[in-house]
This record gives sequence, structure tokens and C-alpha cells, in this order.
Amino acid sequence: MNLLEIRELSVEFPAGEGSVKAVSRVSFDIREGETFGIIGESGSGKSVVGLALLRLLPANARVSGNICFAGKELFFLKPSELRKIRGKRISLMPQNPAGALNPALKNGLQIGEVFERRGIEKKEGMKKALGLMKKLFLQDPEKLCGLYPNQLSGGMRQRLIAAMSLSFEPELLIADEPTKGLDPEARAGAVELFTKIKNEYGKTMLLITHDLDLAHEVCDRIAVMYAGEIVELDEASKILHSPGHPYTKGLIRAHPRNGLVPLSGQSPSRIKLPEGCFFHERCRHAAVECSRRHPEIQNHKGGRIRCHLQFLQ
Amino acid sequence: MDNVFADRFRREGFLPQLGEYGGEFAKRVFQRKDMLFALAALVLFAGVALFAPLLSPYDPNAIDLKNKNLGPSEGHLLGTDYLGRDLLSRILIGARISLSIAFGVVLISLLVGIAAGCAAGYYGGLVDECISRVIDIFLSFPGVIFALTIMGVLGSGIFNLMLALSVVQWARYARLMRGQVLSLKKQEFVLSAVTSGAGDFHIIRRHIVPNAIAPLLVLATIDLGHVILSIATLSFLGIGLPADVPEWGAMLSAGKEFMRTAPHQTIFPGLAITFVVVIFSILGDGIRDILDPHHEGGEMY
Repeated sequence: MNLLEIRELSVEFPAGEGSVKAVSRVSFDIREGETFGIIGESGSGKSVVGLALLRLLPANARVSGNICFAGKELFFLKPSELRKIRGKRISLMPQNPAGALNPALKNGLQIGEVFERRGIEKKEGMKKALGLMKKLFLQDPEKLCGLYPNQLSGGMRQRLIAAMSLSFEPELLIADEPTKGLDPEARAGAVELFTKIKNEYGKTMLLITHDLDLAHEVCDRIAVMYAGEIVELDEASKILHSPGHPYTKGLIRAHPRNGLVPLSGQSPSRIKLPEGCFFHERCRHAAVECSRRHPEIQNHKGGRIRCHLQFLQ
Repeated sequence: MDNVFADRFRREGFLPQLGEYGGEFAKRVFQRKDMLFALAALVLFAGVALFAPLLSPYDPNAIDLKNKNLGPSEGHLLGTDYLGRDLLSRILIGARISLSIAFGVVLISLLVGIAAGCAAGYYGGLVDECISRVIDIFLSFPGVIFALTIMGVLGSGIFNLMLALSVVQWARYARLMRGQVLSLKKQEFVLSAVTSGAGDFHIIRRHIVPNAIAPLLVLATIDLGHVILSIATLSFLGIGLPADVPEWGAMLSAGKEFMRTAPHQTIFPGLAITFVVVIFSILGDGIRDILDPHHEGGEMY
């Protein structure tokens, strides 16, 4: 059963005479209860996909395609219906835990606010949130509620945000780069946190990250994005242990544990995309075919891959 | 570094304990002797203004032509004006009028400015264009001349004066608020409020205004002084308040005829205006230093 179906999602931002193609024709499904990861380098369009899901893109973005959440077309919803879905059924854990809490309000007030808005008895909601905070390794949550966000550490803030986004038992939790800017210890805590969320709440999650370790620990399936496209989509262990696409291979080789081999070159200009495969300029296996024809994504060994080589060989 | 006053007040429970945000603010205020002094003077002024009818030795409008243009003496501490009215009584009652008009004007322009600035900054697009152009129009007139025109149309009176000065002032608040909202609405906590399904009004009230208000409060504090000056200016030009209302600017204006023979008639009201304006300037500067995280205030003197 698919909770979320994304079909041919494209997002463009007008820039000068042309337009920046941030996401082009991305399609994937998220099954109920699974943790789906999107990985890729900075600027590959990962976050834009996450924002598009909640219709949070700036007004000048040109979006096409369909997003179907639990049988509802998200792009055709009225703002009032959209507000009912945001937070309650789909919730987003923002990219930067330091900026996601209002510095002028005490933590308790910010947590309570989530319930206030839903017309749920505040005391009952707070009790639940406090329980959640305890479960997410936050000690002494009552005391935390009386403090301001700047008095918490980065990891604590992240857990607080996690507790806030989980307190409504959303059907889908989107976590946008949850380990960005955390030190190794806090990062390990985040991995632990997401494993716990996954195991104890069985939530459907969309994890947007460039942290391969986190993706490996937590995700069931992974999509790899490059230059706004999905280049590979498969089970997490298969992607990370026996990647098929040259870009995925390069991404994994660039990991410090695997030798820190950088991918040569830069990702292409998104205003004027190269002909053929977007990756061929940096690909060490590139053939003549690769610079002529843009590969379509195709089924391959149980997963999906966008590469000519898999079929030429 | 704390100081003796703050310590004593905290022990006696006048000040909130440290650790809370408000306590921190109060502590910083007490660290700065200039602000402490200005605050004490303001409290004194406000007290005088509040109890002016009890404190003033004479009826401020009682005309006594036999004793006109007297210098300071035991009977009349600050002397009398050209109609023999007691200057001290008039200055005391005048404090009440000046302060209440100033607070009224600043409150009205603050509220209107916040509303307009929020709407312009938050909704952007056509709303922003319209409100911003209106703000530009209001800012392009020289303040006093604009207020004079409005007063000329409406006629004199306390309420009309407040209205005229508010019309002149609100645009500055709106512009400042708009800038604040523009930078705040891109912040992640606003985004996360949107993702959790909050409505526009809720976001503005809960997340944007509390974070944007600090510079506006600084402007408002400094503006209190400016408004008192503007009231005095308008009264000096003879268009502010009716003649029987004792007001500092009107007193200056009346006294200037007798500058050579009885200079105290201009000196004392002038001093009163200066005092109040300086007090609000010091407070405004101090609040700005304290609220501005980039500038460590406190050790200026």
C-alpha cells in the first residue's frame, strides 16, 4: 500500500532569461510504514522535493506533476484543507534545529501551541508531549519547558523538535537533513533517535540527507538524486553495498571511511543542462552514447536506475 | 558587573530574580547609571503629571494682572507670566498634557504601524506595493508642515493634535516593521509553524511580532521625546492647543514677547521640554544597547 505517490514532479525557478531546473521528472512511491531516504550532493534537489510535498515552495516556483497522499491530490487542495494536512498528517522536521524554534517564546509554550491549534485539550496534549520527550532521551522535560530555546544544546533542540513533530502522530514524517551541522556525538544521538522513532512508532518517514551512515542505519529504501533527477532507487543495503550507477559509486567512495576519493568535476549548470546523461562529463565510464541520448530510468535487478551502461554491458 | 542598587532591589524583592529574560533586562538597566537616572526622573515626571492638580500651588488659569511678569519669588517659585498666572502650576499641569498626548500618539502610531508593516511584509506582492507606496507618500512630507496642514483642517484640540501627529508618525513604524517582518518570515521557525498548519494571523501574532518588536520599542521610546517637541512646536506656532490649555510650547510662545524683561517665562518651560526629551533619548539609547546583541552596552560611562 503506497502512502505517497509522486509522479513526474518537476520544479523550476525562473532565473534571468532561463530557469533553474531544480527537480525534473521525479517519480517515486513511499509505502506505508517504510523509511524512504533521498541522498545526493548539495543542490541536487533533495530539499526541494521535501518542500514541494507540503507546498511550501516560494510563489515563483513552477511546479508540475502529481503528488498523491493517501488518495488525495496535494496540488489541488484548498489552503484550508492543506492546513489540516500540514502538521497533523504530514509533518516536517526542519533542516536547522537552531532556527526552528522561536527564540522569543519558552519551549513549553511552543510545544503547547501545536495542540492549541488543533483544539485538543492542552493539558492532555502536554502530558503526551512530555511522555514523548522522555522517550526521546530528553531528561527532565518539565524543566525544559520553562527554558528558552537558546538555553538548550543543538541535540536537545533537535529532540524537542522531533517530539513536537511526532506529538500529532503524523502519518508521514519528513526529516530534512536532520544531522546537518551536528558534531559526531550529537550525530550518533540523531541516528539513535531516528532508529527509535522508526522502531517504536513505526512511522512512515521520508529522510532527506547526505549523511550516508544515517541513511544506512535508518532507511529501508533509498533514492539517489543528481542534478534534479533520481539516478538510482533501490533497497538501502543494495544501494550502499553494491551501487549500480557510477554517481552512486562515486558518492560512496567519497565517504571518509571508503577512502575519501572525491568525484572530479562539478555538477552541471541547472539553467543549461548538458545533452545526454547529466553525469557523463564526470563519469569515468562514459561512452559515446552517454553524451548523445539522455537515459530514461529503467528497472534493473529489482531496483531502478538511470544509466546506459547497465544495459550496454 | 552588577551594581549596588540592583543588588539591594533584588534582595528586597523589587526586582525579579536573575535567570529569567525580564530579570536579565532589568539587571542590564540597573547596570547603567544613565538609564537608572533617566528612569528615576521619568518616574518623578510621571508622578508629578499624575498628581499635578494636588501639587500645583495655584489654579493654572487664574489670571492675576496685578502680579504679571514677576520673577521667581517665594510666592511664585518660578514666577508668573504676562497674565499673572503661576508658571510652576502651569508647568506641572502641562506635564500631564504633554505626556498623555505623547503616549497616545506613540501608541496609535505603534499599533497602526505594526498592523500595516505586518500586512506589507508578510503578504508581499500587491499588498506590499500598495502599503509601501502609501508609507512613501507619508514619509515624503516634512512632519511639522504635514501636521500643521491637518490641524488647519481639523481645528485645534487635544484629540485632533493626537490624530495629526499620529498621521505623521505611523509611517516610520510601518516601514521599520515591514523590514523586520521581511527578514523574519524566512526564518525556520516561521516555516515550521507553517508546516504544523498554523494560520497567517496566528503566525504573525505568536512568532513574528514578538521577535520584531524590539527595534520598534526603541524607536517608540525615542519618539516620545520627539512627539513632545512636535507638540511644543505646533503650540509655539499657535495652532496646537486652545489658549486656556497650559502647554509647554504655548508657554514658550507666549513668553517670547517678554524675553528681554522676563526671560524666566521662556527658560522654565524650555527646561521642562529639554528634560523630558533628554530622558526619553537616554532611555531609548539604553534600550537599544541592551536589546542589540551585537553591541555590548553598559560600559559606556
